[in-house]
Amino acid sequence: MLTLFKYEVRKTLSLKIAVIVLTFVMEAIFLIGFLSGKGTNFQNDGSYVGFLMAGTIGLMFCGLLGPQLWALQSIQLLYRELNSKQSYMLFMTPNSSYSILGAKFLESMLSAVAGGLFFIALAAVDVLLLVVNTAGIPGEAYRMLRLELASEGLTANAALSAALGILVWWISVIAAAFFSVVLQAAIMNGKRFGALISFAFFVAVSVLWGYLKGFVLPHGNGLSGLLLFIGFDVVIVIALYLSAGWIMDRKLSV
Amino acid sequence: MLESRAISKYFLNKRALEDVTLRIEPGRIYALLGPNGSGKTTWMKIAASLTKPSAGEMLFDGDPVGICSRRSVAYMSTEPYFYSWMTIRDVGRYYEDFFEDFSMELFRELLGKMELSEELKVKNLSSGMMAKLKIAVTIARRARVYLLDEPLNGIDLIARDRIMETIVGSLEEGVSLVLSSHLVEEIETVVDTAVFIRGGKIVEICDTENLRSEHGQSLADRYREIMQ
Amino acid sequence: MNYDASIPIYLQVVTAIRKDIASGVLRAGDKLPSGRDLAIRYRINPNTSVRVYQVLEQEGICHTKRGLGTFVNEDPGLVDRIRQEMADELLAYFMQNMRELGFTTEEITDMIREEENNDAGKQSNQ
Repeated sequence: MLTLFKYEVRKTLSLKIAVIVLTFVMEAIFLIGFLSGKGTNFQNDGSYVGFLMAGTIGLMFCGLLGPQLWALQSIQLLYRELNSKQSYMLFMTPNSSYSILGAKFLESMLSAVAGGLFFIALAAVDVLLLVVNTAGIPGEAYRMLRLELASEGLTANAALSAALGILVWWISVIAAAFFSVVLQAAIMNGKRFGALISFAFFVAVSVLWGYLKGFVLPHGNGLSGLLLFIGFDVVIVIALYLSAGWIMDRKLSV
Repeated sequence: MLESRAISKYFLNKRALEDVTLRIEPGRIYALLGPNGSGKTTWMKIAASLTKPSAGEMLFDGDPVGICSRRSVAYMSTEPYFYSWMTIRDVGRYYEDFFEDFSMELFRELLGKMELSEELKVKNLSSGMMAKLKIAVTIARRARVYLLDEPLNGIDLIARDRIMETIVGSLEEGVSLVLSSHLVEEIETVVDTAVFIRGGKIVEICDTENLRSEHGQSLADRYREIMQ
Repeated sequence: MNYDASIPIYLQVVTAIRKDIASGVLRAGDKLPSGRDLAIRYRINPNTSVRVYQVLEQEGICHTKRGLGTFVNEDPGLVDRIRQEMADELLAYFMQNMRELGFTTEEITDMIREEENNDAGKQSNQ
């Protein structure tokens, strides 16, 4: 499966690199604004403000849209591969459907995790830079920021749980999309409106998922509740992976 | 070695294959002959384990085809299927990564014979070059069964001889080759056994030299007779 | 090599090799191509190669030494024998066809002489 994974990365590399490069460009703009504004102690005028704002908006754009584009690309890649002759490249190799699908799951998930970490780290660094320079004393500023955030309920624990929750939700969306594409390809390989049909399956799966999750909701609050939520999602992701793999193995003809 | 037992394949609106029983013996060269849509490609894809039969079994060394048989069965489709971002070198490396029986050395030798440079990008290949690449990469695998779907399609007259020469010359002992082709005359002299297929059913299986010695007919003659 | 695809290929290859021996292209003791090389050279199936050599061996034209290859027999009368056999075949074929057209042996002989004279005439004119 490692070899399959290597090729999945290669197939999706150019978009990832494009987003990263764009992010660095935005970061550069942000830093230019930051550095030129630093000397003036950030009075609310001067051209540096434009740079800071443009950079910030650009970074948010990249951070929010980037991983979404990567996920979309992975899904679209699976769709294209299963519904065209390019499927031969995968299915003529001596690999099980579970490996083939697993490599794709791995690629999307690692991208989501790595991307998430990357943007969060970048954001943290940038925020820290701003905070430290506005308030003057680094340690003091940091403590103030933490207090400020905590008063809004944003403790480290909460942030971590939220991040985990978002990650798992992200992976769930990808899992549901993969499953839908595999189902569509097994039922109506290469026919017209395939994309529409797979989207329809995706909606159906998501709705069903939400419905089932509703039964889990009343059980447990706070941290344990959150863990239950996440646990449920993890189980469903695994179920979707195994089902998609089974369909691919037994029912898919390319 | 490769055995098709009562294989049938139905699609929504057509019966691609009906009760096809056939044995591919080691060391022999087979021609799968029939008009377009007769089921040749479908049969090969089932043998290559790309498509699942609706009924019947496809066995390789006694076991149903699948992951294991893919290691020893090399299939070449009529359509191009390589990733468009690849260069010819990438294609070779891909095969090398996934197939133990792939010989990079032989691949390079075949590329040389076909005058294909490794630097060329798949998306820039003409149909003739693509056809040659497909053959090169498939034959560079030291497989036990080769399934070549219309290998001479898109290849100019002069190159066809060389290609047939290359294909036959690369066969090791005990290896089976199944060719499907419209160009019956071009492959006649090389084929042991001809399988005539029409409308998804096998019409006749005959030994080519017997056909000549006992009936004084060429494969092309017999084809015309059967398919009229 | 051009084949008549309605006649067994192996027979045609056998004839081609006999002709090579009869005309001196292949000589006594020469090594014949391996089965696979024969298949490549003559665009035939490797199994057909085997059959070709089997027939040639049966006809006393070649022999196979395991591990070394197949060789033309070191038989001093071989070339003449083959030449004669091939000539007989051609002659029988020719005569039968000419007779089917209704020519007598006399007429046939005259035609041959005339053909020979014409050839000689062409030669001296050059």
